[in-house]
Amino acid sequence: MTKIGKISFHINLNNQTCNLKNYICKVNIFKIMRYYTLWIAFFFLTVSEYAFSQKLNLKCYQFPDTIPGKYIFDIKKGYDITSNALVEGYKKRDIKRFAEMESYGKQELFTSGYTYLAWDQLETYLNKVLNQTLPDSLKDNTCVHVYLVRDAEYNAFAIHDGSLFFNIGLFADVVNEAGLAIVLAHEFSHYINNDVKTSYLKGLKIYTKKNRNDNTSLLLKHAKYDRASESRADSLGFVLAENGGYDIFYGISNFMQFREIENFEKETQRKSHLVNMAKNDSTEKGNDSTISKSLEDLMSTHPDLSNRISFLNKYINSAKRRSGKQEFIIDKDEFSRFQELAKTEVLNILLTENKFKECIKRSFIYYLLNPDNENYIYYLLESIRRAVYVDSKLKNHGFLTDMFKKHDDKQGILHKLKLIIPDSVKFSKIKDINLIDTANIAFETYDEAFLYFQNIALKKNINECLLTIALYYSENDSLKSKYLKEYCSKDSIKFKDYANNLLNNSLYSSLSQNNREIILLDNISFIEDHFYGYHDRLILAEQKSPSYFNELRKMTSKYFPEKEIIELSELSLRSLRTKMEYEYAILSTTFINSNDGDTKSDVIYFDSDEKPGKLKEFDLFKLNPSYWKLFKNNKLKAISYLKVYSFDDKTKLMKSINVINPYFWYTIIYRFCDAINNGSDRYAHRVLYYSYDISSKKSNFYSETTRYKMSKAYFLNSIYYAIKTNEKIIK
Amino acid sequence: MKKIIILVLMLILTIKTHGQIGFLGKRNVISTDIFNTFFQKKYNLNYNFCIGKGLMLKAAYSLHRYSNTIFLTKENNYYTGNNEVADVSLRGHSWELGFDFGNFLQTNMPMPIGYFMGIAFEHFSGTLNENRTYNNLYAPPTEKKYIFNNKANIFKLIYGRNSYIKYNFIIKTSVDIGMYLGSVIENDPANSEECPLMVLPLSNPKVFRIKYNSNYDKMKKVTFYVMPNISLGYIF
Repeated sequence: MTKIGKISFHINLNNQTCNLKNYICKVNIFKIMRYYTLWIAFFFLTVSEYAFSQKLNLKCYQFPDTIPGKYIFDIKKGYDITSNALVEGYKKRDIKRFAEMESYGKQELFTSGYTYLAWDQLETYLNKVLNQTLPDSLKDNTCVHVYLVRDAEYNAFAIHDGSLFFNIGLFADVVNEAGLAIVLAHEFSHYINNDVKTSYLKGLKIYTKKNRNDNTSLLLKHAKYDRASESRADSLGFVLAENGGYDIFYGISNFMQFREIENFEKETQRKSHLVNMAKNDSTEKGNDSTISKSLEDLMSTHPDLSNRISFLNKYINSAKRRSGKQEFIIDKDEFSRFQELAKTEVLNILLTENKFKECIKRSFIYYLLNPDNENYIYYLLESIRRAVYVDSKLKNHGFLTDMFKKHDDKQGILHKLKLIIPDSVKFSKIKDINLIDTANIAFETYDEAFLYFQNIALKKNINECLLTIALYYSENDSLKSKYLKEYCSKDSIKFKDYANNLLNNSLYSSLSQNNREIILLDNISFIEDHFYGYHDRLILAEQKSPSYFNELRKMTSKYFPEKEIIELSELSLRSLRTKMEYEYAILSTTFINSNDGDTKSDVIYFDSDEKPGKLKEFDLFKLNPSYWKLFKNNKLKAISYLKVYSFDDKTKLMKSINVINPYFWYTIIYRFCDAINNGSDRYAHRVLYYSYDISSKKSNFYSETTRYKMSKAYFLNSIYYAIKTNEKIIK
Repeated sequence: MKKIIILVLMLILTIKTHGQIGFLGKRNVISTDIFNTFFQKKYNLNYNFCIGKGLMLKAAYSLHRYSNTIFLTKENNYYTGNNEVADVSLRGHSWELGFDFGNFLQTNMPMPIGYFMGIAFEHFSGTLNENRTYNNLYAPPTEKKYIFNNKANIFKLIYGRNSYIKYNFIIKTSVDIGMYLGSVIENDPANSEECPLMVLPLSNPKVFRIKYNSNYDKMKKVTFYVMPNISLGYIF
């Protein structure tokens, strides 16, 4: 994900099928749903916190209350166009699957808040840059459009209809407008080459029932195809960017940046499971790096960065390059202004997504390069505070070095700043010289780092940092009240009410009158397993969900009258901002650790002593004061999130009606006993239920699979149990 | 019997119920067997009570009103035309106690819905009336009447599934594998010379003869049977 690519939601949807090793009854369904939890995360990880401080000049993005009309698409029309387009050599069925996924997936990108919907200026700017690289015949093509994505990762992707998506994380660190243009031209090339559709259709074979458990050769073949298409997109991208007048030499800067990330990931063990496995095997044989490296290269969907750089160098050297190529064509000042905003936005996203260490790392780097920006100091302090809050042991660990495989527990990153800023050009731009001096190390641990930046914040009078400092010292009453009083005495502060209540120890008592208990209801996923692969029935879900939800409303009004059902899809159209606030509140109560995923949080909330599924008691409002405001404004007592998956193994259909087969009758008693023990061997449905209750300060995560066909009654019963069980645990 | 009841009570008391019990919180089921009502004239009322997510207590009462006419041809002689016809009617009642088990831990479907396996004990007592008519082409028909008191203990193993239909109605489809054990047929002293016919409460309409000892006391025969069940129930 760190390289430029056509990586998009549908590609990911395919990847999930790798986990589906067997049919539903024999396999832990959690593995199957693991991908879908990524989808949930995908929906969640899209909310912004609001501007913390007016003094800080934080112009953070705010979601519009309603989705602007230009971001609402005609799904059926899009589906019809894509499904009717002939692709030679592929079955109509597969094209329809592709069309279904793309048309619904595209709309989801906007309604889920994954894409910026109210940052017109930056979106216009990106489109101007793209337009500059387009050939004249395509300049007025309305299909081709760049959208800005709320994701801190270094990535961009294209989808089948010419919509390009550019991550804010990449924009924040791209070297200049030329670098930006090269990425956009690369993605546009994927659209021109029809790579998205072809790659999807070619990849389907990998996940058929027959191949999914033994598909290494197919995966290698597909990865090879993907690498070829990436190389083609590179070539065309360079040509387009150069024709647009940009200096493609800066493409190398992009690649170098990706290499930095790649190296960082290697250093911090954030590798794929496959590579780690290979590494474990090869370690015994003594040729660790060679095998793991070669396997990683073979499985990679992108060409090796060294090859890409050498290819670009060759192209630069061989082509008769016209003179007058530029770094900036559209507007240099605008680029710089937007990039500065983007950096703050990236930190905001990381903090809100609870990726504290990444936030610490990036805000620290941004601070080193620009120590005058108060935003970076604020985010640095706040992310350290939150990281230490959820993992108190971190306090005495070496600052940022704990992310690396080989590190001294007590030694901070200041000893080896090159680990996080390997680029010597960037390193030379560090402005806070005190921190480069290895003879006189300013701080070693997270605690010392907090103290160091706390002093800077106090010197600079950054008001919002006072609350951060007060919360950091929450165990020390005198320090806490000292900083809180100081904070409350300021005029332009974001959390005045919160601070006052915290000072008076009335955070929870002030919410005692709250009586709303809301359940956020996500769309039902109908997943089918066919001989040709997995099929997420999005159209079916759209048709069936309303009747299921109506029944659910009736059930909750009867058994849980105090609970209020809110459909997320409906809420996103009515008030996207509220929806995002709710979703993020839920995410913060339940975020969990993952060693193999980039999209999940760094932090673990599970208490190993407790039963699985139960989370330890913690103070949500201490983690993030903005949630106190959310609960107060919306009079919330409890907030829950509900997601249901229905699974149907269609490949079992023939077995169940194969009455002419003597074996069917011979095994009928065995199969009946099996049904008593394991339920249906064809159907299953799963309920995920997250909840947080302020009265008990407990969050709970309920996840159960019922091995029966999801009829409405069984759907209701599963939810009934989820709510009841949750109530019991919370109480 | 007392020991059985004590054991049942002890079992109920020792069961720890975690979380909620029943389907949508509904733990009671009343049901009636449609299949046997139609084929056996066995009017049945079942009551089930969930005492755990995967455990259900069952109690049932049935009225047996079975009657049938059976041709029992003694001699297959075309010229004499000898045959014997028996009008059999069974009047009786039975009570039943048992447990149904579902695997909640695996399937996550709480009783009373879902696949289950059950054990049950049924005690039947009733009267068997036989009207036998002997026909012969060359003689007027002769009639004989027999009255037997019939008692039976039945142990059953049940495999089935309860499925929710709508509006709290459920349908139960199951197969009973029964062991008809230690049945007692007391002969009427007035007809002591004749062989009684036996009608199993849950048997198919064919009547078959049971061997018995010369003193007409306890039958030591064990009979196995398989009987389908289709019940309509209401949960509350």
